[in-house]
Amino acid sequence: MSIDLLLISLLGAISTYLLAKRNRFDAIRASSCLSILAYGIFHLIDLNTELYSLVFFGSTFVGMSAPVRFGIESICLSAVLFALFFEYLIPHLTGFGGALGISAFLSVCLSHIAFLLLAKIKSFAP
Amino acid sequence: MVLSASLPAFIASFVPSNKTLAHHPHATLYAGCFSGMCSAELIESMWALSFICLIGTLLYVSSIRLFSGFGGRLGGIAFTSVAIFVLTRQVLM
Repeated sequence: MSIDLLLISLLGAISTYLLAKRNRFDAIRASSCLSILAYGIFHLIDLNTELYSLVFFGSTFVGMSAPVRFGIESICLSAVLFALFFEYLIPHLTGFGGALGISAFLSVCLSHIAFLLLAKIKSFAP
Repeated sequence: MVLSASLPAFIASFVPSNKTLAHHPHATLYAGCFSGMCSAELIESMWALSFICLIGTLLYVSSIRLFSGFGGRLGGIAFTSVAIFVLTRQVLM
C-alpha cells in the first residue's frame, strides 16, 4: 500500500470529521469545502492533482460519519481501510459513479464491526 | 471530476432547508453529485442520468433510518442506483 495515499486518506477523513463538528459546518459542507480546498492546494503545488484529490475526496466520506456513533480511532481505521480499497477495489469499478462512496461505506462498516468484536472480546476477558 | 461533484454540494449547503425536511435535500443532492461522476460510456443521455437519480432518491427515502450516521452511505446509495440501472439495461437490451 502506498504511504502517500494512506496519509492523504487519513488527513481527509480526520479533517472532515473534526470540521463537521464545528458550529457553522455539517458533514456535507465540511466534505465539499475541504475537497475543493484540497484540489486547489494539490493543483497549486502540482502534485498529481487528479489522483490525490480523488483520494482526499473519497476519504472525506469516511469523515462524514456521525461523531455520536464513531470515535476518532474508528475514523482512523476506516481511513486506512479506505486507502486499501482505493488501491485494490476502485480500479475494478472504473466509470461507476459512487465507487468512492461504496468504498468509504465498506471501510466504515468493517471498522465498526472490528470495534464491536473488540468490545465483545474485552467483555469476556477476566 | 472532484470539483464538479463538490462545488454544487458546497453551494447548495448554504441554501436553507425547512425543519420538516432537515438536511435531507442537501444529502440527496450530494448523492446525486456522486451519481453524476459516472463515465460518459455508462450514461449517454440525460434520461439515463434522470432515471439513475430517480432510483437513488427512492433508495434514499426507503433507507432513511438505515445506516444513519455511517460515512459513505450517500456514495453507497449512488453506487447502488448506478448498478441497478446498468444491470436493468443489460437485462432489457
